[in-house]
Amino acid sequence: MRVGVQFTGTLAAGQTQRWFTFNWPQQWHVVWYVVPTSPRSGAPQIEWSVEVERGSSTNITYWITIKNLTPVSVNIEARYAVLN
Amino acid sequence: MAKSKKSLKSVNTNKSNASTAEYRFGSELIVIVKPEAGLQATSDGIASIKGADTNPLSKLLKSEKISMQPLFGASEERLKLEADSLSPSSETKIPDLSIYYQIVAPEEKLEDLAILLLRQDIVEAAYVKPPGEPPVLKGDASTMLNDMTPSEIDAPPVTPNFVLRQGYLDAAPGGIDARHAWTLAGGRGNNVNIIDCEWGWRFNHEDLRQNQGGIVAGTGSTADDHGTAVIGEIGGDINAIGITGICPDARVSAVAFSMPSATAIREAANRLRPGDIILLEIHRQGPGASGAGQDGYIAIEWWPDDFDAIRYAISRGIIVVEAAGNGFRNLDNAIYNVRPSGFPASWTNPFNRSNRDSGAIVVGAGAPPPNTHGRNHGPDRSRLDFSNWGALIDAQGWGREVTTCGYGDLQGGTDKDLWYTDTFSGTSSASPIVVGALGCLQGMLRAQGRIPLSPARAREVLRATGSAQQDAPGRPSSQRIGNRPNLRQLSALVLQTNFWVGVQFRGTIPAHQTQRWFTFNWPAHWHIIWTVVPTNPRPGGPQIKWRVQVERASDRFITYWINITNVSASPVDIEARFAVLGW
Repeated sequence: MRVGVQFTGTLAAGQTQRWFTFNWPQQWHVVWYVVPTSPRSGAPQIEWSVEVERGSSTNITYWITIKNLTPVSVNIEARYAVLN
Repeated sequence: MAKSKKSLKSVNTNKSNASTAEYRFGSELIVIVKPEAGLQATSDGIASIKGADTNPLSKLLKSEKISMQPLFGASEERLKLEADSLSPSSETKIPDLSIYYQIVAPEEKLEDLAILLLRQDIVEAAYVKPPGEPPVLKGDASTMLNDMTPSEIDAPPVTPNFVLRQGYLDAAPGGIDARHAWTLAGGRGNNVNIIDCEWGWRFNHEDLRQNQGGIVAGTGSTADDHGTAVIGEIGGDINAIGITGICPDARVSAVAFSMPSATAIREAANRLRPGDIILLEIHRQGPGASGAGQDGYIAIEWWPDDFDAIRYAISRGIIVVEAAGNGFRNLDNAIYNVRPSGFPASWTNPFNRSNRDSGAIVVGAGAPPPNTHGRNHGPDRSRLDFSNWGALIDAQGWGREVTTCGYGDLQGGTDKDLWYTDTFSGTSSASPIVVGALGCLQGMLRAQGRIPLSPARAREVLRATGSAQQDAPGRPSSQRIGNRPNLRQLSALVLQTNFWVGVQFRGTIPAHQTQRWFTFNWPAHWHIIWTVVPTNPRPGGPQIKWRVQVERASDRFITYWINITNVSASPVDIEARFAVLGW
């Protein structure tokens, strides 16, 4: 298993933004998750969803959609784990 | 050096006075206005966007022929937006930098002006900060720090290799084992940015030409030995001459204290990414100082604006390393609990982290191994007499005998770009050693695509590892300056990873209902995924679905919010599972 950070970014208040990341070997079992990096306690700051595209017979593209649930901007970090 | 004591004293005294003048930015009069006043300063004067009466303050500024400028440079509106975007909670309170102002006035008038300003209804605090200084002097010539006399002998055509004189690079416990870090991918500080905040540097030095960004804000002083020595320790080039820095692949830049120190810290923070590092090579005269040299000088986070500037950087995920100061002081002393009259009423002593925590890593000065360069400063890793101490201090570095660039006592001559020293000292020389160690670690983590250390995690690993402080006569290890970093231990700790799974909670959800749970104090550097399963069988269709939301509760911890929906027509029992995938 390997874990890592694929990208970081900033979402404006209430903004939803989509990122994509490509050329992931199709045989890798990958999970995606996102955390805020700017502290703001008291309520959830973000949520995310993952969509998947088979870019080729050998590669996969992941589309990560992240939503800022707060009225202020938030910095995020998109993390992954390769499970095999 | 073959000079008589008498002539050495004469030379040093003259040189010291000149250096002090060049390093000084001067005293600073800082004003904090009440947030509810909604004050804004423009080129036309001051005004309130919330209807507060600013006439008395305007009249005072006009009658005294002084101006009032936002301390942190940007407009009040921009600063307020930045603060709002970064958080408020009790643990991670993000400062509102928009309420800070600097009064521009002749230095001799500042104390009187502070008294007048405190009488204004919309002013919450007004205080004069003593000038910040690098740890250059310490009173009499026999014990001065960093007042080396350059050799008059010109450098040879090719500078010798001095790396073997850099014992701080060696294996622990004598050094920090930088050489071990260099064997690991990224361990020379690849892809890490470091900004040194102080006065002057020689970025044209022959050993500082790679991976450097020069001065990125402010104007450098001509008193450049100190800064040159600091960045040599961190980022001296890899080559066959001179010295080698602890993390030479890191990109080292500088912000000059040609502006108020708090302003400079924000300037540095705005140029860095999470996981990068700021070094604060400054201390200033604290309460109870004797006035002799730098006796009683303390770490700058004691002043409200510097504390909030550091907190601003920390809230952006940037590690701040702060010299503890060369003031001979116990920072746990109750004298630091006493609020100066001009400080905000809400101020509490930040040296007691149970009051509030800047998030910085504070560094004390320890003795190098005996007989380093043929000299002895006490037992290895014992507190050096000048170093401040206390519970606040997180780690120590060499406070004597640091071989690096600048000063010219090891190699001198007419060209300062060829100067080296064998005796850089103080919490000034100690702090870059800790910065260098952190630069190596961040480089390793980034090389593996891992999350760099957060400020809180960096402090945690420094305190959890390293070569322990030792006793010296009259300076027991209870006078805390922390451990000397050990990169062999540190790299093993930060690169280790683990995997496990568990069940965090169970519950029951009525038909067609959604319920939300939260679970808190999960270390922010852990990679965690959440899954939910029903535990009461109901074949024939889906029973539940879930959605995860995330809150960064503080620099150290994450709170996960798990929203679970029962999509069936019957109550369902659920089990929320987690997997820690590593870090």
